[in-house]
Amino acid sequence: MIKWREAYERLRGTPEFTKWFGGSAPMGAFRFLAYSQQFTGVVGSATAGSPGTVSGPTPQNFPSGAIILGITAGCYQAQQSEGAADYAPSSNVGRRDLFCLALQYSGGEQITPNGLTMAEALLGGGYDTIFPAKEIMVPPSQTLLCSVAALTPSTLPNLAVHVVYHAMVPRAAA
Amino acid sequence: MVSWRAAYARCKENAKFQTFFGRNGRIPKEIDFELRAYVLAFESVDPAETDGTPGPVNGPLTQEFALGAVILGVTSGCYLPQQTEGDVDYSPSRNQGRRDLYCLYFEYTNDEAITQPQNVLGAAAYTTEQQARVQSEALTGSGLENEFPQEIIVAPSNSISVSAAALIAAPYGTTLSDLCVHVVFHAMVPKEAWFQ
Repeated sequence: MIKWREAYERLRGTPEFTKWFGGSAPMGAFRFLAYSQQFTGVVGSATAGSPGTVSGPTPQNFPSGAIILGITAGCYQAQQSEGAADYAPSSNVGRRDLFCLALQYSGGEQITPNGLTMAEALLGGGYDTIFPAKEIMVPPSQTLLCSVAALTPSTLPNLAVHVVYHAMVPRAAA
Repeated sequence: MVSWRAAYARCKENAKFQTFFGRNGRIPKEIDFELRAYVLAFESVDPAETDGTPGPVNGPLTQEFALGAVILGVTSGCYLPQQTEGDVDYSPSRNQGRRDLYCLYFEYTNDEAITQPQNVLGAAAYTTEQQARVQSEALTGSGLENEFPQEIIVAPSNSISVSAAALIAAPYGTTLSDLCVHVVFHAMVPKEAWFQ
């Protein structure tokens, strides 16, 4: 995750920051807000390991604009019936090896240009600066689009995927 | 993963960086770059024939960087479906991205290697390209504490090739599904506006 101070210092002199948030907005004029998206009932793939039916893209709106410092995700999958398997389908803490994500701006510009990407490889655990490697500045009323697809076979229970955008947003009072 | 700020500070003094990205005697600022996460997907990596020895090579797949890039980190993970009940008693991996189940090999398209051929115990010195493949967990880790690579400056229109091979073989008398391996390049790329 990008450090708050580093992101602020990098952005505050840019024309976009000045235009969207006011050139003199101090760091204290921002507060933290975690936006989240839920993708429930993400169905498995006909071929395990290839992304299945795509859920989304679902827009995430940022009414006041935002500076996204990190994107994290995890999924829930119901337990299988007794006897179906001898071990769990994933040892990953967020089961991020079971699904793919694709992110893009609403203008069509891609953040993941090659499309659906396994969440573990893309996001990691959200520590350090794993994703995004640099903060994403979103203009007011702009959106990001997120799509999800499962890598698991369709014989397994559907996935519930949560995606969280950890963001600096301008305080309403500012 | 290399931090954006550290990479930029190191690169801006580099002659190649100035040549690849400079315009009219100016070099782009840190903010003139944006993030792109490129992925190469190997959707069907065959199991190895012998456990622990890299199996059939998949790839190389080529990732092109049209505008050039500074690669801050390469991360990967794999998905392996559960094996049939009774084939085994426990999961083949408890690694977060199952990165202990496969090898990767990187090179520039002009054949310059990023991962060097390795000396294999019991084999004659430096051996075949097959043995130059390195377990992904050992090479890239999770991208948190491991810094693979230190930033790589890629020239505009240049590319990097990646190939993958499984380390896991099917248990005796049973079958094992193919692995799906995703490799992600976390890159700084110059904004198109910089070139205009």
